[in-house]
Amino acid sequence: MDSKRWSIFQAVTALTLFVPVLIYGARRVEAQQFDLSDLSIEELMSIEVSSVSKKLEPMSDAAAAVYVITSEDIRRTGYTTIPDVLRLVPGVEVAQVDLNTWAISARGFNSQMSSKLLVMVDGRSVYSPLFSGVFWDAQDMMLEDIERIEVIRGPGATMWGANAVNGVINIITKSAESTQGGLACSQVASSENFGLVARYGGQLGSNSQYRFYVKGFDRHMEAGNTGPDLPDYWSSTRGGFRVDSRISRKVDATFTGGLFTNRGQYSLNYITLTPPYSGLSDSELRSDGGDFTAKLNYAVSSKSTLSLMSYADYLEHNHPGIAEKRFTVDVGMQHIWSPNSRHEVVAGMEYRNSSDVLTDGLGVSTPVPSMVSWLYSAFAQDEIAILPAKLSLTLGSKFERNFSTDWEVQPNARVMYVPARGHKVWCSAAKAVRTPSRMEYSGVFRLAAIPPMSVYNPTPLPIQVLGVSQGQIVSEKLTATEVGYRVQPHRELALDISGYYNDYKDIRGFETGQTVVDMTGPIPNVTQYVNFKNTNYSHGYGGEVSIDWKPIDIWRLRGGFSVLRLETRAAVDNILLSGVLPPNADTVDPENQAWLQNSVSLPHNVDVDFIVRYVDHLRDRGVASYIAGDARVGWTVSQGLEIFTAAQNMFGGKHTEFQSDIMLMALSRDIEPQFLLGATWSFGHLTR
Amino acid sequence: MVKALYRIGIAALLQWAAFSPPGAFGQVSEAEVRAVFVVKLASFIEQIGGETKGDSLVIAALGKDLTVDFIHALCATNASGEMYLSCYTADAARNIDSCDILYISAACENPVEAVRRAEINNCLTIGEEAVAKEAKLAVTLFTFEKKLRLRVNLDALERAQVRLSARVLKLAEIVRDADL
Repeated sequence: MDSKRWSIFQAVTALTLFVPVLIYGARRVEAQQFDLSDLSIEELMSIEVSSVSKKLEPMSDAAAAVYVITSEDIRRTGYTTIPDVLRLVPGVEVAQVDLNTWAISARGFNSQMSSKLLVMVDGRSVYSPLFSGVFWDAQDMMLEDIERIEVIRGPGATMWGANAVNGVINIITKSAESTQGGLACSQVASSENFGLVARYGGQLGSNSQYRFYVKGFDRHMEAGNTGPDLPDYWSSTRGGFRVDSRISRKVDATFTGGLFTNRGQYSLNYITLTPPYSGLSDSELRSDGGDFTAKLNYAVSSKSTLSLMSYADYLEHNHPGIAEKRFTVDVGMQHIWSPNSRHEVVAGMEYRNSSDVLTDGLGVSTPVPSMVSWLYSAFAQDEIAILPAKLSLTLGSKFERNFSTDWEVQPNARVMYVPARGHKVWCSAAKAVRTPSRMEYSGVFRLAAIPPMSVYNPTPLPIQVLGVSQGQIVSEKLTATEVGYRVQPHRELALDISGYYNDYKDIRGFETGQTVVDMTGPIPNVTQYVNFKNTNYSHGYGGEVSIDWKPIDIWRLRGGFSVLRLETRAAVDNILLSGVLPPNADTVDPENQAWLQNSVSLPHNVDVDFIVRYVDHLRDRGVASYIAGDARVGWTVSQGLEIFTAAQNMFGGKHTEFQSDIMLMALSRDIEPQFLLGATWSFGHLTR
Repeated sequence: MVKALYRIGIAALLQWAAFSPPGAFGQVSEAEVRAVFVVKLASFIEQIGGETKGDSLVIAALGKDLTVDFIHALCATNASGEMYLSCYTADAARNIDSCDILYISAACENPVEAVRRAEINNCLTIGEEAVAKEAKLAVTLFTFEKKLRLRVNLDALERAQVRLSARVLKLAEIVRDADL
């Protein structure tokens, strides 16, 4: 960071840190003139109260690295997408590639299709089996509907199943009961951005509530100094509903559903066999989809609850590389019960069926255009209170059978020790697997073209490198050990520290296959096949620290720091492959990340938030480290009406956050500062 | 340009906040309002049978939080009007003696046992949403749209043999155990 930027950073940070101190001083003086004791109970209930948050979240009892982002946390960031919100989770790497594409991972292996992070929305998996990853543009739900986001760093496979290797993100939405009345939010932003959200919730009879919403936006970004010389855009329209019903004193049901349509710019490089051996495609990325979920909870007794859940999900994703139509159906059940005071058992089973139809695109094809994939699984976990309130042991395992790798067993053992009140120490050991993606199982990728008479190709013909599956691929495996310490010395301060060592085996790599000389086609060439095979192995270690401090009632400081060291080695059998396809060509991670959020509640119902983020450089990719600042000022003008303004990506100017070394991935663009002005109006609410 | 605007904005905000006229603060501390409300509520408690509380009142607090601090401050200044107030803080449910109101903070341990003991002693239990469901509190304080709200559990009042005046019930959301 140059000296000018550093000066600005210092000035702004100092100012925002001094604000709460000044305000607090002013308030103390004023408090002497304003005696609450003189008010009646009716008057007490009519004055507005300030609290950055009602309290710090109680320390989690889970023997895992858990971080929770609440609805209020999301509101105060001023962020407009879920990936942006995830930037404030220590240990999670978030890099924006273009307007509608992100690379998001936890504890390493970050790529545009990060395969080792499972994402769930209200228990529905949104992890796509096509390339193994999440299409974040399809998950742009209404942020105002989110109750909380729970992020579990580290393996969560025993409870959540395969692909919860490096982390699980659980997005949990609010009940219909807590979103009664109307809400409308509109915002305009720099670069011709416009967004509108509307929601209404009401009562259905005496025991049911409903809500429905629509959300639409249109975003544009100018062409930057790097990346394609074309403006970027993303427009989206979506709508959905939720119904919560208390059928009887013991049974309640939830139904949710939604539809969306997305249009966006997608620029990628693809391989050609004529000079310059690559081309640039600027085409439209179109995705449409819908989902429906039904969930039933039955309180068998005060110590036993049975849950049944089923969902259907349809996605049509027209990626320029390959187009996909996918229909998924999932049925599952879970039973939680306490046979006695020392045991709490969770057990369940699940069946999922996913059918797809693929259409070949630029550089990606499949010999099996239509396929049905399936899995069924069962899990059981027992939390045993060895010394009640002092020492507990959690043992569990998931047993999963899937269509591509057959049986997978994913056990874990976790210990939680409470040495004293406010102190918790935990450790765990777990195994998890990442099953092969649909395209690793039966896909053909045009990975590279090597010009003739070059370092890796002394022949007079161009070489095209085709990655293919020969049915030899198995699951990637992780053995993880973690330790953690949480301390809450008093109600206003909490500290969470975790460390881990991850040992990965059977990481997907390549093995040299057939070499075929084709002299009969329109362009004579040599085709070098490389087979997907689990040739690589990795190990990684690191740690995360998060702090939450509320020194006075109107001021809250939160921060996080994470460090990651990850090394991948490949059993390369060919000099050509080592040069053209390095073992971590599609993944790259910052080694250090840090952030600090300063939240202040000012007089006149004004909330001010300021966030500073530091992200380390991406080694070997030419992506420099950056410091970015985000700010939000919100003013509650009257009951239910808030006007807010926000700024994002300040300080650094335009910067690049990610760069992939392989073809077919979205080309990175300069991420530019954005300014936003909006208003939220809620009306007609019921009691809570 | 952008940086200049940002700096001007921050400076303006600081000036505006620092030089706000007295009384301009639309908001006061949530913990302070809760504490005053807890103390004020003492005037609206009746025993089953119609007896009102006498001229002295004991408030017990379980756990430690800002509201508890403010309750202690109010007791020290005897801010409830005509009643003589005394209060104490217990760090565990077993240390709760006789009291008229038991305030249970979210940070306390074993709120269920505390409520059980309080109900035997005909004591009104008050606390935050975080413990209300588990402990089946009589009065739950929560904030909605930055304003204090209360929920009264009639089943818990019956168990404690305590009544609240109609004036309080009129302001409250009325529930039963099963609704929590």
